Amino acid sequence: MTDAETKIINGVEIDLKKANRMLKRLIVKETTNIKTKRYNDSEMAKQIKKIIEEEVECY
Amino acid sequence: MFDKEYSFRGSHAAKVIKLTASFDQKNNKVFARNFDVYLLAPIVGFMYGRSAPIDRENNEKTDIFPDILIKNKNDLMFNYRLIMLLDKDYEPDFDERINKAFRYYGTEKAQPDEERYDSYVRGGVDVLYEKIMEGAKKPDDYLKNLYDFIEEFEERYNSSVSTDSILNLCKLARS
Amino acid sequence: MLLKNLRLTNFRQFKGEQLISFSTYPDRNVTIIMGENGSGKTTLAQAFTWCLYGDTDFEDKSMLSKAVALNMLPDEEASVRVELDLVHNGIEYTIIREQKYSKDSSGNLRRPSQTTFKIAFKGADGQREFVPDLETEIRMKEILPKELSKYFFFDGERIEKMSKEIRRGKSKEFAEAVKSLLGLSAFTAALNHLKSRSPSSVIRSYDNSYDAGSDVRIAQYTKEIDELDDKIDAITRRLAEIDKEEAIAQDKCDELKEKIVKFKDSEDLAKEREALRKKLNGLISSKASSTAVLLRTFNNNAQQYFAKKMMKDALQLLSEADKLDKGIPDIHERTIKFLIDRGSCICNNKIEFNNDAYKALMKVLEYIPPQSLGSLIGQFVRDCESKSKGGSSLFEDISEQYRIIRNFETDYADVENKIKLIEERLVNMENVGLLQKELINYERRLNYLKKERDELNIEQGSYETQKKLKIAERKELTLKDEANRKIEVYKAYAQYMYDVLLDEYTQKETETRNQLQKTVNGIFKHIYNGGLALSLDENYNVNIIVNDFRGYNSDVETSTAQSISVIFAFIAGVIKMARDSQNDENEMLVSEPYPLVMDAPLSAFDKTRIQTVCDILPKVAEQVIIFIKDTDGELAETHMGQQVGARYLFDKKNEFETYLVTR
Repeated sequence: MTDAETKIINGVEIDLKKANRMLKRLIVKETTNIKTKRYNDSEMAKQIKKIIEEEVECY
Repeated sequence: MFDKEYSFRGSHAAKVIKLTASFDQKNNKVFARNFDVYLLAPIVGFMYGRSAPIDRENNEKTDIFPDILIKNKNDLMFNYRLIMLLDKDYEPDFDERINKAFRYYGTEKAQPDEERYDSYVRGGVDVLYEKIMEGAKKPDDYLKNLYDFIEEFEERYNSSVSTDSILNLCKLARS
Repeated sequence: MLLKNLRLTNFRQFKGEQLISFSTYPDRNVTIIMGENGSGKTTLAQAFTWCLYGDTDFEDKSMLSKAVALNMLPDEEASVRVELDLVHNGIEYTIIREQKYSKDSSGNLRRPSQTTFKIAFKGADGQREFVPDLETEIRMKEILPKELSKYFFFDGERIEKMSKEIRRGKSKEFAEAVKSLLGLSAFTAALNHLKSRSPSSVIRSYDNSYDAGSDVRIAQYTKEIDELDDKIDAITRRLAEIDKEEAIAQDKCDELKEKIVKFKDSEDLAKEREALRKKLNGLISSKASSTAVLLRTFNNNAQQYFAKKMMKDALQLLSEADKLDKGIPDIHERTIKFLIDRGSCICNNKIEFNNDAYKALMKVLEYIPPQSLGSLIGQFVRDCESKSKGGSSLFEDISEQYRIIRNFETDYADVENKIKLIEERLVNMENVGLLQKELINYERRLNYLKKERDELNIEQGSYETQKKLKIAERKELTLKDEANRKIEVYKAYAQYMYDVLLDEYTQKETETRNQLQKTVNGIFKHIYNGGLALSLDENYNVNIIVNDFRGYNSDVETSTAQSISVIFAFIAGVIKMARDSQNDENEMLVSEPYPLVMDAPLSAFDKTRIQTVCDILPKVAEQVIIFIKDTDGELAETHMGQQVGARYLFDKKNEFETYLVTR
């Protein structure tokens, strides 16, 4: 997507490696859910938040 | 004979009634009156060589009142004279035919001539009926038959008789 | 979604339980069901929609077999049931709809109960399970949304209306449906989860989780931003409504204008009809007058005319016999009688009874008036003269009148036919004044909508600016607090993902749309070869474009054949794309094959196109099920023979009973 390591979004510096990793997890999750319909929208949103928070906190 | 009431009888009465009946909603008739049939029929009868006895099969009858006959006597006399002058089968001698045409009418001598004339009237009614009425079902058919009849007559006789030739003969006769 | 079996129980003319199994072989994917009109083709097609959505197009809303209803006893109960076995997403489903009918004690059919709708599926362990009742509708939407279904359960007779809808891009939901069909739903779902109006969406929920403890203003800002968001959303929704209303009003305007133009024609047509009616009356009266004239001419001149030949012959005879004029001019019978009475002639000869002079004078009497032969003949000649003139033009006159009468028939029929044609054209034309009024109303509405939109756009812009400002101010405050700063970071990541996904989605969507346009065009050109091409805009509106050598491009009027080709190409294109994208390596695209179920589609095409259609159908759709007239069916089988995997026939016993038999 981009070679730069960081990017400023809304005045916050983000790590693109982390960002793209969570993006990939997000798409896989969404694709699976479309097939299984296991989670509803708010459950999905919670899980996405979980992914984001986990990725941000980890090294 | 043309100053007293005339009656068509039997089948001829029936035919004359039909010939003078309305054939459409607009009150159109082939012949306006019995008299019109009576005026044309002897000519047609003579030309087609058709005569017919009085039909007494039934009592049907239809009349022409004397006043009409008297009023049109000249036209009727004209018919009578034409037929008398030309009916060679009836009277081969021309002088005698002239007498029949111009002298004997109205006298006792004319009795058989008048009979002869009347039989042409009836024969003519038969021809007119056959030509115009038979086979006609709707209003247009009557007109078609009438036209065909006239056209046939035109082709057979009148196309070879020009009005001028008659007028010339008249001049010749008067000179 | 592939269809496996359809089981009908007492559904309309399908009495008892009847089963039809559709071919699912990949290489023989066509099922043909043949039957004459009225044998149950449409009913069978409707059985699908009734089963899936509880809807039918029937005027008689009673689904119960008439034959069954007739034999039901008072207080007895019977049910109508349609079950559809299908495979979707690798799961085997059975969709079941049932409705109970009963008779009251006097034997009248009661109003039927509500339909019951169930979805069963084979669970992971092979056990049959039911989707909970509350979720059946949602699940059905996932399997095949209703708005999309009409493009797969496809009624050849409604084809034109559909084509108009597609050309008008009537429904945004259709665009959405197409997108999901084309495998973009993972993107839309992700985008939706990250940022949407729902308070549970990731960004929204972060917004609401700021710890207001550090600064009361944070909560205040959040509240205000929420309010602005609500206002902006309301405006966005209203703008969408305006778009819709505008499209409807514009459609109506176009329709009215077209009608008004047509009505302009109708005025001319009405005038023409009036003229023709006059002509008709003229013909009738000219026939009547010709008839009258003909008969009058005949009656007045018949004697003269028919006697013509006789007159000529008589005159000929008379002139030859020298009998014509032997009279002495100006001598009257009275003159002679006077001479006889006087006993001496003008020449002084003595006149005595029976002497020569007497005899000569008596002879003279024959030729002089009043009753002389000569003058009688003279009179006769004069009669001939006048009568021959009278009858001279009878034949010509009568011929002329008769010609008019004879032409009447054809002239009349001709004019009458013209009037009939005009009346046929006039039938659907309306009063132009009312149309104008209506048009003005709609145009006013359009203007109003335009103004409203302009105002809303300005308002929305100002809310957006306010919102940005407040967000910036809030951020400044939140960054001062450790916990809130974390939220700000999470939000930034969510926003980043949202931006990337949106970007990619937009790209993919454009790509997909272009691909769809290409596919649709490929198919369209195949069906309709005539220098035309289709283009899709971002709302999936289909436009027909003329490909001219001079590069002249414009949207053109569509003929029926074109309309049919457009809709067909579109549907075939969507299905083909859906099918192709399933084979795509890209895991991010999710797609599902769909069947094409068609009711009598071929009758809409001409013979040359039928072959093309038959050729394309089994290639673009995973599964093809067609209900078809016998005549069309034979054609279809000729062209698709190899691909046909199952054949059925409607065996119509009577109006109320049809049976499905395998051929």
